[in-house]
Amino acid sequence: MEVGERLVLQIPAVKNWPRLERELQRMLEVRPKAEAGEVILDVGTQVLSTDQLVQIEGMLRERGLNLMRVVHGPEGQDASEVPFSAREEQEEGRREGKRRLRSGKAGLPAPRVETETCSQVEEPGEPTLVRRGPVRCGQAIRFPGHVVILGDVNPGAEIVAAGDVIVLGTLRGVAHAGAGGRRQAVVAALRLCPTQLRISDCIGRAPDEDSVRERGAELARVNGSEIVVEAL
Amino acid sequence: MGETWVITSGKGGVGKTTTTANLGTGLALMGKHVALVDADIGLRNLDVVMGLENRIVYDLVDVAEGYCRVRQALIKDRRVEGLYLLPAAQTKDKTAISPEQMRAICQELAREFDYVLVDCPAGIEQGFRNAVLAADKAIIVTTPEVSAVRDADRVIGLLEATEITPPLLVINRVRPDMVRRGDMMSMQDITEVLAIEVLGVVPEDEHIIVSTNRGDPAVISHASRAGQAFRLICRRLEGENVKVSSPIETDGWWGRLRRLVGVAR
Repeated sequence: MEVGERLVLQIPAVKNWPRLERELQRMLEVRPKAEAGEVILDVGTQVLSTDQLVQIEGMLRERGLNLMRVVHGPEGQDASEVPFSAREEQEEGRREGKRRLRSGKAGLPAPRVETETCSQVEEPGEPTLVRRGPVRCGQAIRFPGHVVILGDVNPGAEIVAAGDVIVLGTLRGVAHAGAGGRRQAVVAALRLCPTQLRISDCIGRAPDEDSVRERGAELARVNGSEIVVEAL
Repeated sequence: MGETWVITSGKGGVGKTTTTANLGTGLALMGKHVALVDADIGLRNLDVVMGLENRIVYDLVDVAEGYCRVRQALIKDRRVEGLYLLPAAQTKDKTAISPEQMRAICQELAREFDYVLVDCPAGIEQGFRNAVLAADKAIIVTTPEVSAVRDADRVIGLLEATEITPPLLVINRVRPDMVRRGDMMSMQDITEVLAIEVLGVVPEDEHIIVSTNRGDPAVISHASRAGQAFRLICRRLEGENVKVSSPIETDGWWGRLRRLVGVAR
């Protein structure tokens, strides 16, 4: 893969998911020559479900492409203006700076869509799912990226993420971070009281004599081959 | 046009049927026209708890199959005016009726009654779906036990995917002495997990066993503390602004004395 080159996939607001799938397949077949390995998915103003994102990610992976980031376009973009296309993105190097992927309405400054950050982070631009809680018993959230829950995760609920799991509330259910094998993934919560914690292939649970005292925000990570919890 | 409420829980044995019978009777005692519908086909109990089982001629499945009209299957309560029961079938099971049929029957009842209360079976399968898809509003019944709260949470999650308005919670069979000792979940413990509005708290009461066996809903008796709690819930359902209090604070004269003297709980 050429350094600094990424493929940007832009999809207009298409209500029909089967059609979108077909268009994506077709488009990936005739993509530009450059062997771009990384893909930025531009979903415009629409919201794709977890399942749909996972499917797209699978489609890309089959062709040796890696879904790096999911970005949203500005409001009011007319779908007909954006042809269903793929184009090369020439990066100005991995330096800090603002990136405009599309211009907004005349007279208004285009809202910032994406910020290029320094690439000393391990996985820059990982797709992240943000959901409001409470996530209830029997509900499962699975995502090929990081997951952030704004609220509680109740016992009987399950969060499975390829990346980190962050709960801005009380985590009482099961959280599995680094589900694809990433041992550096973490689980963090304002109150960490899970029934079970999993990071990559490690499993942990609270000690049987766990006290009920208030402990504050905590983070769980893998140290060696076991899961350790430390205060945030 | 009346409202159709489903009384559900997920967990079995927490008091759905008792709650349905007592709320229905309580509302009828306040002058409302109430129809109770037993959706627990195959394991019907609402007729027994209401003391009407020997008056059953037609049932819910007969109505759904068009064998009789709703009016013919409705049983008038033997004590209270304006209260009717549509019993379930005992010799069939929950596949005998579809959500659409349930919905049609409940809508027809809602045209004539102020309240249609549907007693939902335990579980989350066909019987649950039938009852829930027929309703506009929901009451979740739970006891202060971890397993019951777990199931209630599951059910609330399922209800969130329907068009039912956010459900209200009834916490049943509370034992204030155990809550005080820390041996039983408190109202706060429960609402912290379930995060829905509490409609009422009903204390554990021996009267309930006697009343369900005899077929005389406890809400009729003034000696029953559970009955009193159900009456309060009926008033709240009717829009009265009655404060929801945990039974710990209303534990008789000793509690009143303590409050009078200003002793902290």
